[in-house]
Amino acid sequence: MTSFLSRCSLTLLLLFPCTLMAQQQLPTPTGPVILTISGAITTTNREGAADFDAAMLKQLPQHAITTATPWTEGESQYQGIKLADLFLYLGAKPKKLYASALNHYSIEFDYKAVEQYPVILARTKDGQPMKVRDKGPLWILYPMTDHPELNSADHHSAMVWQLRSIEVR
Amino acid sequence: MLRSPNFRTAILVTVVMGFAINAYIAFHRHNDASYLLTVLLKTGPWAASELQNEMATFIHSLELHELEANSKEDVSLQMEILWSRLNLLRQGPETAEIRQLDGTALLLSDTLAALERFEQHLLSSNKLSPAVVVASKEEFNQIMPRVRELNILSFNGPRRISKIKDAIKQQQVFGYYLFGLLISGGLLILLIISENIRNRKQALHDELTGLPNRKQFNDFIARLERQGLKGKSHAAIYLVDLDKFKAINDSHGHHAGDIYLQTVANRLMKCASANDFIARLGGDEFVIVKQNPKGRGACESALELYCQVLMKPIDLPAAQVTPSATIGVSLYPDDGNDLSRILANADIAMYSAKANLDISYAFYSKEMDALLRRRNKLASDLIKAIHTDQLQLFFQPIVELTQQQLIGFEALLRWQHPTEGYIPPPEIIEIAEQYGSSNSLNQWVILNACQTLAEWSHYGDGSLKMNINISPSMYSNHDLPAVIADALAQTQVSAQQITIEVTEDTSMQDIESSPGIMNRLKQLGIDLALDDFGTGYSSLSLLRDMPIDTIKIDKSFVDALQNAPLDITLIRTIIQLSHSLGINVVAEGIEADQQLHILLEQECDMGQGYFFNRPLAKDKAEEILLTASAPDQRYCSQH
Repeated sequence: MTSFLSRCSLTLLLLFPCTLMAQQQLPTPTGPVILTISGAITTTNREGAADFDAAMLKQLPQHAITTATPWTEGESQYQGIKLADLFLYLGAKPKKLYASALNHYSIEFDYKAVEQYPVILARTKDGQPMKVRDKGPLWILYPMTDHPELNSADHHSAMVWQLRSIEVR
Repeated sequence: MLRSPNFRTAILVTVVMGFAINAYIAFHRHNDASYLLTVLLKTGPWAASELQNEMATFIHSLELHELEANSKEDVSLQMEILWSRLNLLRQGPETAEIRQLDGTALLLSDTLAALERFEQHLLSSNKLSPAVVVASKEEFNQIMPRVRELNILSFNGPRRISKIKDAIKQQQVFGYYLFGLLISGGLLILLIISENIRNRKQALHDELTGLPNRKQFNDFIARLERQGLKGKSHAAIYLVDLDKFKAINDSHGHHAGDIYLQTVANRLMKCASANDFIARLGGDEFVIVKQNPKGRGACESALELYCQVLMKPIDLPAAQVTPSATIGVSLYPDDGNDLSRILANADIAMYSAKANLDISYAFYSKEMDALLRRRNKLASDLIKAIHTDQLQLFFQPIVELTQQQLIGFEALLRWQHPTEGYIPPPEIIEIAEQYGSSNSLNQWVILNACQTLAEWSHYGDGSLKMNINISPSMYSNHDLPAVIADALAQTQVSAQQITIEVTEDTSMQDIESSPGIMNRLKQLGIDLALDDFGTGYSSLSLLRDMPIDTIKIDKSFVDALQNAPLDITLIRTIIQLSHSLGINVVAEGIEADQQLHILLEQECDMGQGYFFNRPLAKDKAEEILLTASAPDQRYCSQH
């Protein structure tokens, strides 16, 4: 019952800002830029790219997933925008994503799973913003507990933590 | 052994279990090995190498800071990244393996302590002092070799080597189980194939006799026709129907019935030639297809052989039975243009042969079609006749010879068919037997005879007797004593007034297959008469073994009396033998005065025949009764 309600509220949460988002111009970040989306996108706030600060990301519709990972102990609740929503927002229809991290890790991966599953750009863990030392500030997170089929090497490599930028391909 | 279903199931279960166990273990061994090789052996060393890399980057950022080439935030970010890596190594299932390497725990806690100290410096002032930077750089530089060592150890340390060996061993074990999987899988496929073959065989063979079944027979006929039998060759179809099989099944049990059928099948197979096709079409029906027989004569001699071989006694567990069969034969292309027509013809021939009690086989002829149509019509009309009282009983007086007094009647069945005219009683009986209406026919006869006796109860002293003829299958397939008891109860007729006439040659087989039936009839209190005595094949021992009250000497003996002294001797002997066994004698078919005199001389007890009266309709019989019941009235013949 609880889960059903939370699902409903999440759906409402998603529907409402989506219409809102479509009419909005992408604002310019006022704080330090923590995420840059570049490549095949139509909505930008500088030449060929969209920059986000923490506040901008916080204002976007949030989605929560509870999951365990191979790199953490037990399950935690993570929250952040759904990656698919973000690309809708930016008018992008990605085929592949090329993600780079603060630690210079980078990987290209298929967009398909991102569309099929509620993959989020996790911003908080158990309600707390994530520090860099806790794989923050942004972590591409797949709902592995709800969908055990995602617990595989190819998806592991796409779960980029300390995410800094994504190039849409 | 392989034929036993339990054994087959056991093998199948074993193989399937073997397959399942092998598949399960192989799957797990392979998973374990894969996990070892792909996850544990990959992710641990990766994390260790990243630790070294990120620590070097952090130290480098300190060096840059010393040169004032980067900001405090840059240093802080590198610290965070290093810290994140440390956290990664300190928790989570992926790096569990590496945490167990010697000295790792100490290294991780030392590094954490160093990071915490550095964070204190970062937080305590806006600017990092050069002294702190140098000291920190020195501290991490001292940790660095241990990180390098961990990196190497995680790549090829003894623990890791043993893990690799483990994985290889797991793969080997996986190999064994894979082999087991292949073997059991192969066995499974073999079993499935053999089951398939078996099922196919079963689908085309009769399980009891091992002969081809109706389906295979149909396939065979279709194949013969496809192969263009037309014009090129000849064939003969023999349809073999066992007589009275149901009675054997009922009285000796199904096991005996099975032995009976198997024996018949074996005999047919033995006397068949290589080209003959034999199948069991159904319960008691077999078929033989002879290809290219050498003319009708050859078919006939084959038939003789079949009959001869079939009709030898069969030993059942508790009895010996002599099989009898009826065979219908039709020839291709003489009797028709296609084999299905020939098969239908053989069926017609078989039924024609069945209808004629004297023969056991018949070749198809065109006239049989008409005969069969007439039979079918009569069969359905007979059922209507029974229910609409189209049938009649005629009554022939039976006379006590010395006193010439009427003692009873023999009830005889008459059927005047509206279009076919008079149908002789034997044909009525045959149709009833063949088309399964004998029970209702006999019920009708028994009930009507009893009703007539009841109507006549005011004539004489109530000792008037009625002889009733019963058709053969009543003894074996139906509950004759119950039918009689029922009729007696309905009509209030005394059982002592009823005599059942048993025909020696037609009924004896049925009676033999229903042991105890005669005694059950006797227990009702009715009399038993042996009809047509002297014409059948039964031995005299019947007289001893069966509870017979009367024998009826066949008309043929009486006919012969007039001129041959030898025949008189024969009659005398029969009468004396009967009397010595306490059995009464009735002479049938007395037509002449002279015959009567001889019979009287030989002390024959009773007689019937045209000399006294023909069978009479009921009203005529009543006239005779009226005369006979007058006191001291001698029986008046029509003469």
